[in-house]
Amino acid sequence: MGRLSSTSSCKVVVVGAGIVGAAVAEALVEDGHVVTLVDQGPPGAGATAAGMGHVVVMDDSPAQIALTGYSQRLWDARSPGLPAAAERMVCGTLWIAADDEEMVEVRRKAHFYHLQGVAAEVLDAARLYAKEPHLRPGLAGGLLVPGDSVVYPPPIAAAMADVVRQRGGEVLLGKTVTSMSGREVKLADGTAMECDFTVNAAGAQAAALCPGFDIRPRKGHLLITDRYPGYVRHQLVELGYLKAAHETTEASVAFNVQPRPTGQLLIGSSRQYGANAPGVDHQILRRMLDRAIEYMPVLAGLSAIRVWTGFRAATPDKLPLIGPHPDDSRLILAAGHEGLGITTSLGTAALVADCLAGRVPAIPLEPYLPARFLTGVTHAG
Amino acid sequence: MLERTSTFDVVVVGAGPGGLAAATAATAAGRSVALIDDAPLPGGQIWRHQRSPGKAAKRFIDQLAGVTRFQQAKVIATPSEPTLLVETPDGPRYVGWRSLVLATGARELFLPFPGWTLPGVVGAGGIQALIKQGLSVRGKRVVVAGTGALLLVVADLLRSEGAIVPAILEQASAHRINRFALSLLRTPRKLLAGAAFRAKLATSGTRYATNSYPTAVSDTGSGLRVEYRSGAMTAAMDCDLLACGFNLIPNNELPQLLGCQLAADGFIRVDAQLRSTVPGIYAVGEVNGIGGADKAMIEGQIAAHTISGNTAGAARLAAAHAASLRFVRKLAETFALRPELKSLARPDTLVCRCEDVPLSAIAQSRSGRDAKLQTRCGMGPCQGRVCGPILQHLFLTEPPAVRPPLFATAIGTLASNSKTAPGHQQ
Amino acid sequence: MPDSEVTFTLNGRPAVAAAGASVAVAALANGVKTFRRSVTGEPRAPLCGMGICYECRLTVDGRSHQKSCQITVLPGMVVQIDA
Repeated sequence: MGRLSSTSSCKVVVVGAGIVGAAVAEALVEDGHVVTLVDQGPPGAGATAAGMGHVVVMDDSPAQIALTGYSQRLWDARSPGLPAAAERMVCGTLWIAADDEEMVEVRRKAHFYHLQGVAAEVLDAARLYAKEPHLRPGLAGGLLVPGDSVVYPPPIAAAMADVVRQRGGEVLLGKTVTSMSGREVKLADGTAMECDFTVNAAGAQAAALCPGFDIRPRKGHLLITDRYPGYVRHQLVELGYLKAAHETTEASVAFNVQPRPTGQLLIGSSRQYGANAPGVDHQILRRMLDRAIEYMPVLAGLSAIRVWTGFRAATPDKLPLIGPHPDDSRLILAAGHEGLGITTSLGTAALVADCLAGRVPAIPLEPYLPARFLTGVTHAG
Repeated sequence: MLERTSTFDVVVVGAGPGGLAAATAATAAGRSVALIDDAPLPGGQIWRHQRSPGKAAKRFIDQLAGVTRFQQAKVIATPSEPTLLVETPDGPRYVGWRSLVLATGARELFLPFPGWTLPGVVGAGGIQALIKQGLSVRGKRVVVAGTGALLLVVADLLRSEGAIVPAILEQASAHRINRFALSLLRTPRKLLAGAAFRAKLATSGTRYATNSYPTAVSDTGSGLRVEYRSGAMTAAMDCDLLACGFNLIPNNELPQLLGCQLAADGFIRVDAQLRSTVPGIYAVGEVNGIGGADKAMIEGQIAAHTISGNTAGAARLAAAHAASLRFVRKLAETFALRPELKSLARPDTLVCRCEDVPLSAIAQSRSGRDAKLQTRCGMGPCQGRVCGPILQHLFLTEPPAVRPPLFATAIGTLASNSKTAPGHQQ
Repeated sequence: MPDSEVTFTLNGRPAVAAAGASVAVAALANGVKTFRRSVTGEPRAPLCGMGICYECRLTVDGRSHQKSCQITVLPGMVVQIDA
């Protein structure tokens, strides 16, 4: 269900030139469609620029590992063609176990990754400290996922927009979309664009254009340091990160540190619902940094250059909405990627392109279909 | 690390002439006062001295007895309504205020030209600051360039410290400079000071060249070669140091973070009593308009009198204040920057020094926001304080939104024990 | 003339500066021309003298990225320049 068939080139308007929208637009022009990509700002200016750019396989659910695993393979294939400004670094992710209970979780994760064909290595404490000597003493070990990487996304979104232009598509920047249906997109300046299909890739603002879907902004904070080459070698994440990501009401923080190619450290992470003001929230920033210092005490003395906030687009079940709107099958949703937008942008783009072309997708589309959230509609099973 | 919260009637940020005047007047009026300054010693850029403060500064510094002083302290953030997070040598401190006087001063505008990043190229205010930190320039050849009354002050300081100043390259026209000098007839003290400067220059062998500006600097191996235009002529001079700055721009980051509205050119909007648009917050001195130490002192006193309810004291200073504001306008008109200065940079000239971003990388961006997304411009430790004004000057880009931390700071300053921070106390 | 002098360590060797001088000036007075290398390796030295430009950063007493124009040189201070 939910698969459209179209054997000819269609006119498609993609709303949102973040990494998801840009990737979708690029995939569609490569399929021969006539594409217009619209955004109120430059490409990749929203959550795409604000986030960590972590390309990671996450095992929160089978559907999540399927989408992130598939996407990571697409990122690997794409890497030779990435612009230099994307600064891709295959540093791997190191999930940290603070105690024996978390080591049990580490072994479970390792097993699950292996079943999915994802390389993962269990580390005992000695090997953990050999890899990351600045972590605080007393940790139990960790899980190294060497295939994970980090990128700087805005130039990638910009390069994707360039491909759209090169292949005869149009990129309209600085244009605000006021409403959309499967056949039409209306702009604030009064322009109405008619087309065969539309894609809502408007991230945290997607629900404003498609009322009835629970896509909510989830505020996060990040801090970046001055250059300290070699301090941290992998993306470091505490296992509690998953608990924090699951938390739906309270504000939560989790230890998450990323090395940048410049030698700067990018420190996160925080999650808040219902906090829509973009200013820095000092209380949660303090909590986030306290947590980071708890895992890596030397961080306290490093120089912080900048702090900023961003808004993830969150859905109730932690999976994005990918696929046709249940009431308007020409309106395709591609939003609600929460903290995995960079990673799953490529998988999302492939799924949307397959959808329009009537191709069987590489992974099942069912878990991400928007119809699963229709209010008052239940699906068996 | 535990932080302490202390609340004061009046918190003054900046211990230059404006801040010192405000702090001493407020403490004399019986208020509890805290004075926060980021340098090792008070006095700001103009009065701070390594050895002993000048007479003017000493007068104020001697009256600081009752004032709680935070020296080498930077305001990092404004975590809650009337509280400043301050980084001090003893750790982070939370300082609460009932009234806040912002005397954060100004910094130089640096404009890029080939060679401007070479060691030996310093600001005009920069060489002044280094001399006050103890730098010896005896016997050194220093070319002074850029624009502003500051160039004369700096050349004078250099010569009194034994340096050789072959020339001052002032980009303003002779016509503007002469008109400015004539207008000083209304302020005899300044006119005398100006005349004294010119006389000293004439006898010292320093050529005051108007319509002049540097076009490129290169390293000769034994010093610098400064190429410059002077009117229709181009020439070059050899020297040890080039002291170059193009006017002063306000340090408006803290005021913006507090929500104070800006007037034109980034100066803080204030009324006649120096109130900003945020209740309880005052802005005095260079941060609301470049007018020198006299203006700053007058304004510091007016703000303190207003806070203390001393309307008579404030009123007595109104005429002098109005005169100082006229001086602000005269300075701005005289030393406005000529358009040629926008074209000195070549495509490979760096615009962002922290991240080595050349002009060519920026020129392709469609907006300031785009420049920050697609290049690393502004992502370095100076937080865009040097390159931001350059972009604004070259491209009329909008200034970026101000976020904490206001200066690069230890992560520990922003962390600290969340159980004892304000918000968790009664 | 300075009333007193301060002995400190500069790049592993003993050096002398006037009491009350900033670390930046102490380095300049001891013949340092290049304070640091930019991200593409260019030589850099102090520009603004007032804690704005970050070109004067040195490692002081083991802490890197310290703005030397805003620190007073103290007896026994260890100053390291990676240029």
